[in-house]
Amino acid sequence: MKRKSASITGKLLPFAAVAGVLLVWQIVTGLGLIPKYLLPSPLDVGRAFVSDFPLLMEHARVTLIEAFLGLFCGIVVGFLIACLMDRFEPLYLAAYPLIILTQTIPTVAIAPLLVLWFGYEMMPKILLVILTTFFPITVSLLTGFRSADEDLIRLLTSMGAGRGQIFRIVKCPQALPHFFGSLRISVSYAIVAAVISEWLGGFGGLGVYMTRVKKSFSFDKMFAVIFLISAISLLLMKLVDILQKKCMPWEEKG
Amino acid sequence: MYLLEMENCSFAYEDTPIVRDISLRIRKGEVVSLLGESGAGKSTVFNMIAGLLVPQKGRILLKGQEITGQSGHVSYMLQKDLLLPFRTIEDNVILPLLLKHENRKEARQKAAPLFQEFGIAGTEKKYPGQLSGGMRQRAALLRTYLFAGEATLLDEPFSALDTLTRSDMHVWFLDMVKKLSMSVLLITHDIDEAILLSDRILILNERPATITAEIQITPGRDERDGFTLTESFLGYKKQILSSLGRGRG
Repeated sequence: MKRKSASITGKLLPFAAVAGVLLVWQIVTGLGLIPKYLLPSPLDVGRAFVSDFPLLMEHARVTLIEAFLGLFCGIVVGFLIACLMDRFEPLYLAAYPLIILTQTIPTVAIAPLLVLWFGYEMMPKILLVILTTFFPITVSLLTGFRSADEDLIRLLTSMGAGRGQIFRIVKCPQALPHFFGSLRISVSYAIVAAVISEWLGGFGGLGVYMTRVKKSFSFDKMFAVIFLISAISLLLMKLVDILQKKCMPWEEKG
Repeated sequence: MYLLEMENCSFAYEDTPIVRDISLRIRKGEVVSLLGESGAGKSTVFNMIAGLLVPQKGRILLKGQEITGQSGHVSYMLQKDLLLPFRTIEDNVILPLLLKHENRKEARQKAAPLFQEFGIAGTEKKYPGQLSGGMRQRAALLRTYLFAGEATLLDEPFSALDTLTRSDMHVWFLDMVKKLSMSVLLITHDIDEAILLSDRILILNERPATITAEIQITPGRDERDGFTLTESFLGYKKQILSSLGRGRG
């Protein structure tokens, strides 16, 4: 009984903390301690969110399409690279530093170049999402593939299993928890990358909306879109959790 | 005719000889133990028979056919159960059949009656993580049996289990071997286990390792109830200890 109530408290505490922050914020701005044109109150942000809701949804749709297409391609690219690097050791040694190098290039530096090369349509956005998401996927899958027990591989080989069968039966399922761990990171990366990319030039998307409201000094709308982006990221992460539970039933029953 | 034969096999790792001139024979339905200290070269013998190591000298025969250096003829089982945590027990057990490209449904049907025999009925749809160590070893033996039931190599299969579970497993193992008339080469460093479970014990000793003594255990495997408490059990134990050069121990 005690433990149950403790776990409920544990779940409520983060909500209480968020509510507390919002309350303090509301009090500070409501009393006029900080002028409204510098920091809108949470209620103003809520009102802005409601009034601009159709517009926000329209832009969110664009951003989500970019993020999903990019993430999907990022997963495919990451999986292919990880498979090849697991299969061919020299490739692993040669390509690993190169892949790490791609991650040291700042997003804000590469994004304008992509716009320059591929225009203001969706293409550069999707490319930037691929660039930021394939890396965690590749690294985690490689770790997963390589974590297979040598004795187990030897046993299956002695039972006549080929390389492909071992990959399918042992390595792939073994890499699943690693994969989901990186997918959780990648979904939020994907949204952020898409927004940054839109910010630097485009016709639609939350990033474009952001630059517009910033230019008109509508900080209430600015905060509304920030909250929306956070909410979308959290929701997607939760979705990944649910997907993971569905895909890995043995974890739950173990 | 012998089921499994090893003729004058020697193996050296680089310039260090590990095992020298080992010969052993196992008849159908016989349990033979290979007993020696840790690091005595038991696993090298094991790996040669499993086809994972190729002896520099000598050959290995299964039913008169040479299988030296070929894996896939003799199945083996280790101290670790090596069950895949993400497959149900049923799907783990039929893995060797699936690898031979048998149909999943037929493979399951083939395995179904054996769950009862092996004492793990009801675990089919469970995951290895939900089972105790003893149950997992039973499932591992069932998988081994489904792969190649004729000749089985067991490398310290019970040594990771607690004492009580281990003695339960000994009773179970004797029962299984009899029911399925399995032929087993059991590798162990546990003298009591070797006496209790085997028809014959081969002592692996010296460096490089070679078989220095062979001890026949006369009471039949059906008469092993309470065997560990008898005078004759102690007699065997003394004999083995002195063969291992530990007479005064």
